[in-house]
Amino acid sequence: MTPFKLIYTIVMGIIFAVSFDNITKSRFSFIERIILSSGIVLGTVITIFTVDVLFFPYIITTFFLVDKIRNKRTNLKSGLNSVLVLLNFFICDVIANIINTILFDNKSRESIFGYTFYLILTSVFAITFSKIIQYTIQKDISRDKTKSYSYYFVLGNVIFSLLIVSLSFITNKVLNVTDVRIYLIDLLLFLAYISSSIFMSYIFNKYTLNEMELSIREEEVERMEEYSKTIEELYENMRKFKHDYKNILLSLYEFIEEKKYDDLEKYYKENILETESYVNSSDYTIKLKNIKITPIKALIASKLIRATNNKINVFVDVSDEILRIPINYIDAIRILGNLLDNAIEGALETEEKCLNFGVVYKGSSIVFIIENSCRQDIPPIYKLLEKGFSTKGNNRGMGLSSVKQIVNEDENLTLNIEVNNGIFRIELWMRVT
Amino acid sequence: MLPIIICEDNDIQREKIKNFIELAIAKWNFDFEISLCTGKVEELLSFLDEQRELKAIYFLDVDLKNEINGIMLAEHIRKKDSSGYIIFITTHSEMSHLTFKYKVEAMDYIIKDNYSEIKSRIEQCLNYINKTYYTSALKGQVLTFKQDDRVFNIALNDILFIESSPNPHKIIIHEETRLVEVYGSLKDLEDKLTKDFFRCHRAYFVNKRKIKEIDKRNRIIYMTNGEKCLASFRCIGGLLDDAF
Repeated sequence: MTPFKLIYTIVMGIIFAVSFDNITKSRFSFIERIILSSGIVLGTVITIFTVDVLFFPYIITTFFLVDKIRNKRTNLKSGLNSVLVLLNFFICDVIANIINTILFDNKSRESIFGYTFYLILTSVFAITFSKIIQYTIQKDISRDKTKSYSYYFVLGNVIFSLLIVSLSFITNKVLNVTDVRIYLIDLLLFLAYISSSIFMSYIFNKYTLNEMELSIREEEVERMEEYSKTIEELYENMRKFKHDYKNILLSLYEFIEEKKYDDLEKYYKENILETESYVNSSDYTIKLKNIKITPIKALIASKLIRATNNKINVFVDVSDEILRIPINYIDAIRILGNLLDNAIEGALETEEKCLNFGVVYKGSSIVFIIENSCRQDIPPIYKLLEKGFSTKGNNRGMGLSSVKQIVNEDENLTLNIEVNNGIFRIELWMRVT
Repeated sequence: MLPIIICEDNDIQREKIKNFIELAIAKWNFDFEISLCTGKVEELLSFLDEQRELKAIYFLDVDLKNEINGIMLAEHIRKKDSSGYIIFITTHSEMSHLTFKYKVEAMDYIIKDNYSEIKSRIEQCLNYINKTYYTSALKGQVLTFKQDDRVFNIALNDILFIESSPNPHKIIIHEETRLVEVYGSLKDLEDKLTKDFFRCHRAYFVNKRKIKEIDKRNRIIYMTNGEKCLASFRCIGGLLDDAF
């Protein structure tokens, strides 16, 4: 038992703990970090100096369990993460070794200077490398389910390449190959593979994004068709109404002409007051004309049409022209679509079904307001925000929690929710910067 | 004493509204007084110009036959009187009450359907103003946020806890029936809060009056409405010491 080996094992344990923290993005507290690192260091020292075969299973199971229990990840993800931590260390160890051998000679590890250099190199590599891995695999985790394929894609590629390199490294060790060039080639191959996989994932991402945009376009066209159909119907109704109105006015004139004021009053109450409700309603689709962003308008129109078809009293108020919004359309569509769906569902549970929708410029923000009638015994707001929560039981839509997630990720968005007297109100503020 | 200002260009309707208000004041014994009742926008504007500071109740007709419309008039008023109560009265039932509410923070929007409805709505409005204006002093401290010329007033007693958003520039204020997200940081809040609030976590301020239960082992604070608030290992001790 040399002091070198002891220091090496301790440093190795610390590197493991830090890179685990980096890769899994755990955000440990100070105390958790101390406990984890000391546990790993202790375990490493004990296993290395007794039965060193136990070392790998020990590391893997510890990380697996910590990731699973502390970070609440799935079995697959925790497994992959713990393997990644291990492989990350090996790769960095190899690279540091090679550089050390190139810079000094083969015996460098026996001098204190060479050894310290080697240790520092390994830890620097391991930490930066784990950060890079974390960045590469986490970057593509989107809130969207369809996109999480690319997470496994990149993760798989990184693990695969690390595995290959470690294998070749171990074979070389077993075969006692001492030629540095072999390691160099290994390293080059490894880097090439990693960069190609990152490139592939980039292409892949772009492809899925395009596909998503395409499907959204298609939906948009459908919604636009629906919207124009409603407008046509509305126009037709208007025409009929105009015609009727002329007749009504004429009949009024006759009453006046004959000075039958009592009949006039009766006629007015019976026939004309009723038309008021017609004048007051049903032209909400026209009011969307101020929204100049076609995909957004189409979405809102189609949702509001759905609401009216469900006998919900819809009120629309867009008095300012909305020319652009500070977030991308896909996010906007997902947020507004979700909120409007929720509003319709909420309104349907009430007696006097109503839904108010408005867009207003306020200072340097655009405010989307969605109000709907809701049950008196509506669950508390925080429950509505819980993942997978739905008043309808089984996972219908992603609901408010996914809206909240998108809002959380965008600095220009804020969300206010209020329940007051049977009215559920959501305001979405978009800061125009 | 809160002044009441009426601006309505139809003489008959103006007198009616004035009459309703006077009746309501007499009936409920409100401490309000009609200080201007006019049909001309210019008169109202010059009245505003004379005042240096003003907090009043306004009853405005939206479709005043004038170059200046309801929104513009209200925006004008807001420049002088940022916290007054604006109530619109209009025949346009299809008009945009949401716009009015958000643009100029109008308090209510009364539709001229029939006079009995108008009367009861005016009474409701005055009652509400009376309640909020004269009891706000008793209600305890209020937290005020300004965001894009909108002022959020949140009574400290209503707050369950305040949380910093995952996005570093936003904070989320949890109330029992409301969730408000504003720009800011917890650090800026520290001075504005009372002793009831405790920093139980890097990302949380909890209102100690609203705590139902503390789960010391899992370091979770349960609020009176069942919502969970996190506490950190270091701070939970201080919270428990405070409580007992």
